[in-house]
Amino acid sequence: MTAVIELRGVTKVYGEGASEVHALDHVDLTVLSGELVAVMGPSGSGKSTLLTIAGSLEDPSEGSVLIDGLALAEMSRNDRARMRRRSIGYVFQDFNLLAGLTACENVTLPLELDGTSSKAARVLGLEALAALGVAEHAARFPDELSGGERQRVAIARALVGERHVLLADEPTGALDSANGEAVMRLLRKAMERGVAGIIVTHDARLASWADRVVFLRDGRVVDQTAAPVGPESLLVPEPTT
Amino acid sequence: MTVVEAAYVQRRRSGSGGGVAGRRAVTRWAWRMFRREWRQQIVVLVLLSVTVAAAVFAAIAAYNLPPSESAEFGTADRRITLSSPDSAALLSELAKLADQYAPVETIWHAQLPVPGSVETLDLRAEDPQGLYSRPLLSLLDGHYPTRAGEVAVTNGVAAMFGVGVGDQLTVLTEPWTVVGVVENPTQLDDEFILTLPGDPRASEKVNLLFSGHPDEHQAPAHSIRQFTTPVGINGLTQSRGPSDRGPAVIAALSLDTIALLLVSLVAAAGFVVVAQRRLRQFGMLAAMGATSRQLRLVTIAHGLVAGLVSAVVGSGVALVGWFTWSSSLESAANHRINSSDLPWWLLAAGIGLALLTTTAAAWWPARTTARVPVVTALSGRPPRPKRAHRSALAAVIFFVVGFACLAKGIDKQGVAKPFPFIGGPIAIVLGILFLCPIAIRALAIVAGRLPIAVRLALRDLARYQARAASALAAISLGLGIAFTAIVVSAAATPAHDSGNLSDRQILLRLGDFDLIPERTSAQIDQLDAAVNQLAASLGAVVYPLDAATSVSTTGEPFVDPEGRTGHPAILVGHRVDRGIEVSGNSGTVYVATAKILARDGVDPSTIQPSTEVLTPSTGDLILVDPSGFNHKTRVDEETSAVVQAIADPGYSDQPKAFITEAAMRSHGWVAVRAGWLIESEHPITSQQRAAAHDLAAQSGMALVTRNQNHDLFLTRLIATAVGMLLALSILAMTIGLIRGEAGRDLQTLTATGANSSARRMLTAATAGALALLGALLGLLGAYVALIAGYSDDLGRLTPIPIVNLLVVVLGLPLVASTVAWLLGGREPVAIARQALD
Amino acid sequence: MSVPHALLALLSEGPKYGLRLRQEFEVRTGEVWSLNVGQVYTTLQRLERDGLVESDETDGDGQQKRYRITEAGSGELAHWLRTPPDTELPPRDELIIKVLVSLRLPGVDLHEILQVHRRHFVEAMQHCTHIKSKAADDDIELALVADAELFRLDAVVRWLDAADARLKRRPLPEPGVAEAAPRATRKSTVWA
Repeated sequence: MTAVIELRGVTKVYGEGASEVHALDHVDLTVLSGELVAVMGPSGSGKSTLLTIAGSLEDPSEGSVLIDGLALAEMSRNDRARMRRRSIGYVFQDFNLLAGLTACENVTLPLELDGTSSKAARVLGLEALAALGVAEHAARFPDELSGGERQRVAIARALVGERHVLLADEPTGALDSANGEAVMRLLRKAMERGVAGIIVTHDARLASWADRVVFLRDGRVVDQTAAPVGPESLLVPEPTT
Repeated sequence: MTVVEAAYVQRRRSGSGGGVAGRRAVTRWAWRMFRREWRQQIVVLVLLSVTVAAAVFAAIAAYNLPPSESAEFGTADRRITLSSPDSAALLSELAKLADQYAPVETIWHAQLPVPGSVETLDLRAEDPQGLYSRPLLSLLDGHYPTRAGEVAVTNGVAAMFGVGVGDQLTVLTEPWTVVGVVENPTQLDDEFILTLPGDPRASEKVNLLFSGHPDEHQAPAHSIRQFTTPVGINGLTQSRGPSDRGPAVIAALSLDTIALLLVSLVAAAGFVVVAQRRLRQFGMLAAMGATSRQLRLVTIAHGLVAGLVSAVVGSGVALVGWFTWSSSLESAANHRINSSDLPWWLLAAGIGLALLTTTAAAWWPARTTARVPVVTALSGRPPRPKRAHRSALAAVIFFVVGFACLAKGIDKQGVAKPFPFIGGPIAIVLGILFLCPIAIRALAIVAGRLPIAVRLALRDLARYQARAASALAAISLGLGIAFTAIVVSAAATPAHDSGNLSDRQILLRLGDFDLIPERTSAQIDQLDAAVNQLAASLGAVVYPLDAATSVSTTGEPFVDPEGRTGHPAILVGHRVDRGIEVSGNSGTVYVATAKILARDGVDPSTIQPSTEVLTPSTGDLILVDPSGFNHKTRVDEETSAVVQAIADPGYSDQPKAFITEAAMRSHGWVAVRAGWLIESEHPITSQQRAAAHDLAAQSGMALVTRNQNHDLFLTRLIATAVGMLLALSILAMTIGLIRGEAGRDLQTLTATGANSSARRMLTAATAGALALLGALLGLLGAYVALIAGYSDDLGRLTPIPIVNLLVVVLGLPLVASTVAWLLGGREPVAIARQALD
Repeated sequence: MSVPHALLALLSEGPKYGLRLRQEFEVRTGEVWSLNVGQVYTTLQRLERDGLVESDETDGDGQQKRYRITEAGSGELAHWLRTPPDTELPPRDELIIKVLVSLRLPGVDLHEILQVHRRHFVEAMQHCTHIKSKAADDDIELALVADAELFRLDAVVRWLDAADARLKRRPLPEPGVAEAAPRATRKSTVWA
């Protein structure tokens, strides 16, 4: 298993002087290929900042971020944009899809931005939509889709083509629990392809889908769970009582 | 290799930009957004198209309206005018010149007396198929004269004699047959009777047209030289200037520049709002890996489309308008306008510039939005505005540069220098542009003390400074143009106490200001009686005016270069660089009779014995004898007149210079009756004016009354109305776009219990604040430009047309907020879609 | 878990043999609960005694006996399905007691204690989710049981989060003053 996402001593400070805020404080985090890591913490714990820094949308004040072993700090703006087109997929709670494009065009957008011809991109896009079970909505516009369908399209876009880094911010936040679970099942399934993922959430039920849960408080990693192994029965681990 | 594999290979090659496919994907999205928001886009497009149409139309008109030198030269380059009562001498002189300058074309003239009038008519012997003169003649009806005894007349002559094609016309002893109606297309008020070339009656004056041999005739371009041949022929050579339309082109370009600046500001105001609305989506695109170049492409593509549509539609509308209305501009221009004679390069430049300016206008918001950090963009926060003091400094610098450019933009000859004349307005517009953010920020400071709805509206404007400032800039420029038009037309309109004459005065004149026609004393007595009778019917006082004229020592009658005869009037003029400047009608010197002096409040006992002339004019004055009888040829030999100042009546056509009896005697000049000034207690009514006109027409006098100037008043009214309409439509566009953005706020307000009057107040306050600020900034910009432009004669800017300006400055915010109040009360529409944006 | 009522529910589908009842019970409850044969028969005998089920008149051992539900049994089942379970919190939840106690203990990092429990519960939830995600799509029984467990655990985690936030907002006792402060005041601050 190779490390896909690596955060080393990442610190992010907003503001200056008296109003200085440490959003992140020397955070180390490694996500392996095929691993889904959940980052849990209350609001203001810095989890969204962690996600934007891991995805090269923001620069850390200190420390370094490596994607596929390449340090983001050493890349130009354009190279980082290319990294986002080719490797990194985002899924947000909302504002996920561009209103003017059909589901399929939304999915193929990163490929086309990268220079893939629209014909070839369409093949890949339909493939990604089919994997998430929304291929029949390919020609529809986002405002004609339900919330769950939209989020599936967003995940299809995050994973289309060769993209293998998934960064999700409360991806099921706007969905009911049945839709949320369906989306998480699909995400888990994607992990089997060797995708490395980080989910940021304050919801333990969502976090429980992860292989590992990292707890963040006041910008620091305070704890993490071990990978769930053990008997396939609900009876054995009887917590607290 | 499968399609997908091929795609990867292709992608690897395409580097960081994404290539054609990336651009296509981004453009497709931009196009879809354009289609989704078509309502707002239509508003922007209509406004842009109208502005482009106005710009293109104004440029074509400015290019076509000025008179062309073709009116004098036809297609020739040079012209010699010879005149003499001795036609044999003329012919021999002409033969020599024709030999020298061949090929030449000759146009012969004679002045025919009009029965019962001092007016004369031009009898013209001109070949319709002439070598150079073809542009000077066109046939409206019938045919050109082909046989002796046939003539063609202009419409004016036809109306004067009440004749048409086929009628008989008797001016001289034998009647002519009118066979056609003609005109001079380059000069519509040129009235004449056209006869066959070689008609012996047209023999007083000849115009010799020829194209120069530059090496033989060293006469500089635009030169005029007067000469008298040894045999007593008066001659005048003229040569055409270097380019007919230089000033027209500069004027057209300068108009184009201002209008296109407006286009770009309107476009920028629209694009900033649109880009701001799409900020979140830009964030999404960036998160997906779009490069900043691709992000810029979205907005620039938008600008390009808007520019293309508005350039095509706008110039189409302008062309249709031009073909429809160009003929109605002809009488104002005094020449025929060939509507198909379009300055294509100017049109192409206009379209190109429209396209360029809209694209450039899109470039700025494109750059700004592409530079917003992705995280900020995703959260939809407006970018932090720039520091104010820097833009204040920039504004001051641009105002100074603009002022300097405009103050020096016109040289001493009154010819505009292209670069400062075009650059000056640009600099002032840029100055306003930099002032706008400061003004917007000032709003937020004021906001704190105002009611909640107003406060919210003003804070919103300040919060989204970029879009509010660009809207403000567009409104300011629109109003600035209107203000300039208002003030300029006011400067050109004589005020109540100035103008050519007071509205209580009538001036009846014999002949022209420099030439008094010969009248017998019996005729004068007859006229005197008629004028006194008219004055009596008006209850008015009559002041007979006697002009000082010079007398021929040889006994030969005086003939001026145009072949007219009469008494040459003495004129008063200013000594200037290399000559004398005589100011038209008020330059005639009249005899200072006791009655005239009493009228002007001058006590005869206060007149110094040495005084020659009494006049309000100051400076180095010279009494000019234009007859040449005294054989003085050099101006610097003339001695300055001894002047005593009197009060200035203020009216330009009223007699102003009066010569003393002593001076008349010492110069050997004689007084000749030149006219009558009639002064009533009350304003002259139009019926009284008509009666005076009848008298003048019957007895061959010229009538002068106060000019009406309705047209300039109308110009001001139109400028006020158009400026307000333009500003209102820019306001409507930007307010619509800005308040459309605030839909969420409105819903929150409604949810918190705000009723429709709070919503109305919000929209009204936004509109009113932008309108008021725009009016104030527009006024500032207009006055900076005007003070610079009139810096050599600031007096012309007074009196300030306060009423018109106030109507705009106060009326526009009022109208804007009222309209906004009326339209702003709608319940906010459901914004289900907004979650997606 | 009421085994007698579960057996009544199975019998409401029709008469069944004892052995079959045991197998079906395990399948229906997502194989979360297992019953031994003895438990099944003593329960059935109790139900027969109360007149809620009746058995065939055949002799032979219990495994061959067929049971069917009586009128009274159906009534009892219907009543039970609609009776809300005991929703009152356990009066002395051990976790709450632990946290309350550590509030007063000097030298204890409360956040750390809360985090230990949080990790434990989240791990348990991960476990449940893991099993749920591995289960077949049509295994609704298992999914329901897992969901129930997840929601229960989630409630505890939420309580821990709320406790964490509440403790974070607690004004820090000033050194020296803390000891002297009247007890009542401190208590009211904590529970405000």
